[in-house]
Parts: sequence; C-alpha cells; structure tokens
Amino acid sequence: MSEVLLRGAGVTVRFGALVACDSVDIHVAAGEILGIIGPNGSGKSTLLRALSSVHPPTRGGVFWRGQEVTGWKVDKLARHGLVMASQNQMVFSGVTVREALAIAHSCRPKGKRVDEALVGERLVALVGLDAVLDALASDLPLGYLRRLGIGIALAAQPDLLLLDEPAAGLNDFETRELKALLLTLRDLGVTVGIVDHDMTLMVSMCDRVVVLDAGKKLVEGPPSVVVKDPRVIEAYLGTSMGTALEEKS
Amino acid sequence: MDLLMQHLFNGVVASSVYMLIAVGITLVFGLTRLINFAHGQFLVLAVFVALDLITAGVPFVFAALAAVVAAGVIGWLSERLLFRFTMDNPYNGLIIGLGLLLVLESAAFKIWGGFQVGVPAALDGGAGLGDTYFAWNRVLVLVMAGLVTAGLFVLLARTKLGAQLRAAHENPVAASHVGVNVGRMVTVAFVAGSALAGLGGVFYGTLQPVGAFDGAHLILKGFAVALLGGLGNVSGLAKASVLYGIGETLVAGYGRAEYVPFFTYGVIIVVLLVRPGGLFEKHPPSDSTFARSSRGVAHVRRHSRVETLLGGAAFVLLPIVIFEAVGTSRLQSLVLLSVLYAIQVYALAYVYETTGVLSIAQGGLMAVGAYSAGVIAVHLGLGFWWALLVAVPLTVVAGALLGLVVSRCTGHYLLLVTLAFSALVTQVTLTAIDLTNGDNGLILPESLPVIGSITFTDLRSQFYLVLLVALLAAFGLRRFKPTRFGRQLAGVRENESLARSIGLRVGRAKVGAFALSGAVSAVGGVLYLYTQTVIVPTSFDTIFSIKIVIILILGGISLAGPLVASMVFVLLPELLRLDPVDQQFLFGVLLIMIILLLPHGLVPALITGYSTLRSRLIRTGHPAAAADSGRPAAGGADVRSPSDLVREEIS
Repeated sequence: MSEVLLRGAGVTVRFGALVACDSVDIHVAAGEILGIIGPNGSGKSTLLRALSSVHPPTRGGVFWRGQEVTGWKVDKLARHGLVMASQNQMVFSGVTVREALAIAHSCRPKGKRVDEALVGERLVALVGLDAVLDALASDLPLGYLRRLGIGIALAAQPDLLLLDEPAAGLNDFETRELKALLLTLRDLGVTVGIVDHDMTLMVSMCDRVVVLDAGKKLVEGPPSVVVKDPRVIEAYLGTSMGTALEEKS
Repeated sequence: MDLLMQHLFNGVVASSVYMLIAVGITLVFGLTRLINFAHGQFLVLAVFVALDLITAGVPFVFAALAAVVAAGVIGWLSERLLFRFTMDNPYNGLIIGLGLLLVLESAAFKIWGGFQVGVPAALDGGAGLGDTYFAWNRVLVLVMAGLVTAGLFVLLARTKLGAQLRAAHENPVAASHVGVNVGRMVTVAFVAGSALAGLGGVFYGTLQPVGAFDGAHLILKGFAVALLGGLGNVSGLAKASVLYGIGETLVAGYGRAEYVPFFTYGVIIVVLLVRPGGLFEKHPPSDSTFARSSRGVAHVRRHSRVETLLGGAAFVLLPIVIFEAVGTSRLQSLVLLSVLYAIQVYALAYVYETTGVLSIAQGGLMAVGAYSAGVIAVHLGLGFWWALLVAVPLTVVAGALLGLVVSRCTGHYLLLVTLAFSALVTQVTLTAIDLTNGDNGLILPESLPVIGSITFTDLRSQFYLVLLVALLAAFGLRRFKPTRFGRQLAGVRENESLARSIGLRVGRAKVGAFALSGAVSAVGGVLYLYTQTVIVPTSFDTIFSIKIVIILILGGISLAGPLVASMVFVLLPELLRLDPVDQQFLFGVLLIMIILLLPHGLVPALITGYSTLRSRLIRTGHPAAAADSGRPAAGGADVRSPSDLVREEIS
C-alpha cells in the first residue's frame, strides 16, 4: 500500500448545535483520486475545509504524512504540499491569465522541489489555457476559470490537491475536460481529493470514494462497489438513480 | 483621591460625547462599510452654528436644535450628492470623505475664522460633593447623551424603521427583496449619524473650545472609540467610550495634555494589533483586506515600443524643461519641492501599486527618515553620509513595524492604523523637544556633500540630484513589479486569501512591502532635509500624508503619474496665487472630482484618451487589434468584442 498523505481521525465540526461532521475517519493515499460523496448537507465540503485547515475541526485530528497538523495556518499547510482549491475561491481576477499564473508561480513555497510539468508553458498546456493567455481572468468563461483556478493551485507544486466542487456549473463538455485533466494529474503524481455532486464524473474517475451521510461516514471503497451498497442507495442515490448508474456502467 | 473622583466624572462626561460621535460613525459604517472622514467636521460645523445663534440671542435649546438640523442636512447633502455614487466601492467613498473634510475645513475657516470657540454652557453653576464639583452643564450633557443613545437603542430594537435598518445592515440584497428601500435606509443612517455628530458637537463645544481644523482630530477620537467597541457593534460602544473617556481624562489630568494624542493613537494601534475586531467583538471581522484590486483594468500593453519610449522620454524631460523654463528661483525651488513630493509618492506606490493597500502614513515614514538624519546632523554633527546610513535602516524598521500592524488588520481598520501611525510620529516629533526642537524645527547647519567637482549648493544641482533619485525610485518600482517578491505582492493585491491558500506568507509580504517603502521614503526624507535645510513637525503631518495619497490618486497608476501630478499639485496653487486655505479647498474639490469623474487618475485618463484617439484615426484591421483588446482572438479583425459594441452604442 502506498504512503498515506493525509489522515483525518475523528474529525468533528460543530456549528453551534449543528454537527456538520461527526467523528469522521478518512485518509488519502499517495497517487490516488479520492472522492467524497453524499447527499446535500451531508458535510462533504465541511470535511474538506476541516482537512485543509480552512475551518479547523472542533474535535479530532488531522495528520499530514504522519505529523499532526490540526489547526495549522492554511499557508503553512500549503507550503508542506497540501493545497485546496475551492469553487468560490476564484482567481487573481484583475490580471491576465499569464500574469495570474506568474503570480501563482511566485507565491510557491521556497525550496520546494519543482515539478517541471507544473511550471510555465507546460503547466499552461496541461490545464489547457494556451488560447486565453492574454485574456483578463475576470473575462473567462466558467470552464476556463475553473482550470485557471486549478492551474494556480498547481503552480504551488502541491503533493495533494483538494478540490471543492470543481464541476459545479460546468457543461458536459467542460466536465469531460476537467476529468481528463484530473486523470493526467494523477499520472503526474499529484494526489487528488475531490468533493462533487456529479455522480457520473465521480464514479468514473475516482479510485476510491467515501460516502458521507448526515455528517457520518457511511461506507468507503471502490466506486463500483460503493454505488451498489444498499445503504448508500437508500441514504443517497435512491433506487432509481442506482439502477440508472448500473445501466450506464 | 478626591481629584480622582473629579477626573472620573469629567472622563465619563467626555465619554458620553465620544459615544455620540462613535454611534454616528458606526451607524453609517454598518450600513455602507464607509468610514466618513468628514464626520468630525460635521461636529465642528454644529459648534459654529450653535455659537452664532446663541450670540444672536437665540435660546440654547433652539440653537442646539438648529445645529443638529444643520449637521443632519449637511450629512444628507453629502450622501445625496457624493457618497451615493461610491456605494459600490467604499474605498472611493473614503477618499471622497477625505476630500470633503478638506473642503469643509477650509470653508469653516473662511466663514468663522481660525480661532477656537466654545458654546456657552446651557446651565450655570453646579453642586459640590466633597472636593468634587459637578457642574450642571456636565450633568446635562451626560444625561442627554445617555438618553439619546438609549432612545436610539429602542428605535433600532423596537420600531419598524429600526427593523428595516437592521435588515439593511445584515444583508442589503435580501432586505431589498423583502421590500426594504435600502437606499433610503442609507440616507436615514447618514442623516441620523450626522445629526448625532451635531448634537455631540454642541455638547463638546460647551466642554472645550473647538477650531475650524479640529474635525480630523475629533474623528480620530471617534474612531478610537468605535474601534475599541468594534465597528458596527452599538452595545460595545457604550463600554468602549467610557473606557476611552476616562483613560483620556486620566492621561490629561495626571500626565500632560500633550500626552493625550499618544493615548488616542496608541489605543488605535494597540487595539488593532491585539484584537483587530475591537475589544467587545466576539467574532473577529472576516472581510478580506480592504485593498484595491485591479478590478478588470487591463494591464495589456497597448502601445508600441516607440510610443512607450517617447512617453518615458517626455516624463524625464518634462520636469527638466519646466525647471529650466521657470525663470525665478522661487518657482525653481517649488519645482524642486514637487520632485521631493514625487519621491514620497513613489515610496507610497511601492506599497499601493503592489499590494493595493492604501497607507496614510507616508508622512510618518518620511518624518522618521528626515528627523533621524536631522538629529544625527544637528546633535552629533556626523554629516550627510552617516545621516543617510542611519536614517534608511531606522525608517525601514519603522516601515516594517507599520507593516506588521497593517498585516494584522483587515478591512477599513488598516487605513486607520496608518493614519494613527502618522499622527503618532508627528506627536513624537512635537513632544521630544530635546531632540527635535519641537515646533521651532531643526535647522540644518550643513549642506550636501561634495561629490567630485559638484558641490550641490545651488538650486540647479540640487534639483538634478533629487530628480535622479525620483527617477530611480520610479524605474525601480517598474523593475520591482515583475520580480518574484513583486508578483507575490500582486497576489496579495488581487486575491489575498487565494495567495495565502497556495502558501504565501501574506503578513511577511506586507511587512516587506512597507519596509521597502520606508527605504525609499527615508532617502527622500534625507534629501528633503538637506535641500530645504529646515524641518518642522507639520512638514510631515497627517495632512501631508493625505496630500501624498491625493497626488497618487491624481496621477494614477503609471510611471510618470506621480511626477506630473506632484508638479500640478505644488505649482498650480502658486501660479494661481492661492493662500493655503484656498489651496486646501481646491484640493478637496479636485480630489472629489477625480474620484467621481476619473477614478483611474489623471495620467491614465490621458493615456486612455490618446489610445481612443489613435484607434479612431487608425481604422485599419490590424490583426493585433483583437489581441490588444485583452481577449482571445476569436476570429478576424472584424470581430468586435461585446464591450466595443457597447462603447459604440454609447457614443
């Protein structure tokens, strides 16, 4: 088994009386694409934010390569290789795409080993922004904008990239492009943790999924197994959706 | 011990007035995120109106009412005529407030003169209890201020208007969806806040005299209280104002009156450093740095190399031509002065153009540089090089400290902290008389060193030296932007939280930017000392810092902007033969007009005008034209971007 990059132990997040995440144990292993799925309000995004220190957990611990990092500052975690790109984080919007990537490249941690595939023109080609390099980031259509967001995160040379709903609002074509990009990233050695609503995307792309329901972890395993789990179908997918997916695959 | 009782009583009375000011500030801020710098001047206006009416024989009550109405009306006018247009950008609103402050100050001076005046007390006499004397007037102020604040509480909590105000405060969009007229609520908040300032003014005037230029000082006190309580938090204000009022009275009573400003500015800086959300705010503010991001201003190169070169040459030659053309040495020394200003503007640009943080502390940094050099030269007699060698690192440290405080604050707080820093430095130079000679100023006993055969004793050689430094600062800034550090700062400007999330130490970057700005500022400050040969604290006061901000905004983001704008700023009033008060009035008006009409500044507006003219003249379908517009070239030259279409429809 490959190295565990990120581990959350008993991660609990409370907002007042609401328990958004309830003692969730989760890990991300190097080289995989881990998906976190679950119905609306099941605490997926909250879990991701807790793991990435954007909103540290109320209880429980987060460990990065075996070292406890609970409550670390976001920038410190990023310098250690864990970068989160959220869908509402947006980009460096007032500058051109070229400049935005240059800015991101400059913000990367000092002394970190630089992956040649994630620098300069190769990064641009990887995220498919060649055609819009001189466009203002704020003028980009959503699909490009998401890829710029991922490009900016990649420029920080992450070992693990956490993505919060990267496919939200994208059309089918843009979603397929996103999937291709993430699969390429995995091949390049960037581990990906992803939360999204698009089941087709998640099932076809992830190596492993964790299903959350009402803040608790329900099941985890390979997506093809998980979607057939009766508990998952009952809690989340609904019978008809489950059969629809089966028919598809 | 009995004296303590007296101080406590006086402190509580003063605090009730500060509470009125702070409630007004927070009422407006809560709804609009706007800090209105002219707010304190509304207070001054009320004092003058009340005094005039009472002198004319009007009873106190009616005079006070009229003053309150006058303040409310001016608040209403300023909202309807000015702030309404900057609601989507509180940042511009803040600068408009500065402009309005300058205008109202000079107008007050023109109408009522420069003397400090007080309002005759409403009630005479008082009661003694032990050694403590309770003047009836002070009791009245305390009771009235308490009643008004309590009434406001009830209004906000119980009435329909209050509910609408709170709804607009919580979420303007949602409030307008359920039928709240948010625009009217903003007007209500402005009028009510200004009227409160008017009432506070009348009361304050019965306690101590007020002059035409006291508005800026009063607003800082109001801010100190509002910050202590947490901006937008009405219940915290009452506690905060009592703390502040008593603290201030104790400082004045047991220390010296000159120490009060240290207390005011110290409170602002310490509170922001320790508890950036205010003492009584449970949750720290979450809004991101109140910084200018480019907001869609394209940085795409639109000009050919030749044009850029010509522009650069014009920018270098313009000051030289003007210096050589103006015949008299008086005007020449003004051109020299304007270049000295420009150096400070470039120093500010090192922070503003990179991080987007607007700092009103350039005067403070320059003062650290100039005064440390002055002390070295006057008291130790070590000469120019030692002065420079000491002044630059000292100012870098001061800048870094300022940057440290700034990096701790978010939102509007950081503007306040820079303002407080600047005011604090001025106060130090005023108070440390042994070193700085206080108001009388330091007179430099020596001149610039001889380099080779150049002696730098005449205006011309000094001018070229200063110009060289200004050009170095300008080109240095241009060279600095594409460096790794420069880009990191651009990341802070464009999206601070994103920069942080990909690993940038944002705080450290800001400290670095301010330190760099301090270095440039120090060199300019030392040159100021050695060319002007005399420095006084007011050379670097808050007004000076505001002037530097005005020039930067006037000039806009461009290489030549600061230099051109400085010359306009320094020479124009001289050519028009304006006295300082008229100058201040003019600059206030100018600042407001620039923000409303040319928000990107004067020089960029000229450049844009030139670009438009050129594209009108050259209508050829150049293939680069599509790429030039900052969009992906979607097709041939005939393809027009949506914004082009809109532009054509407008014209």
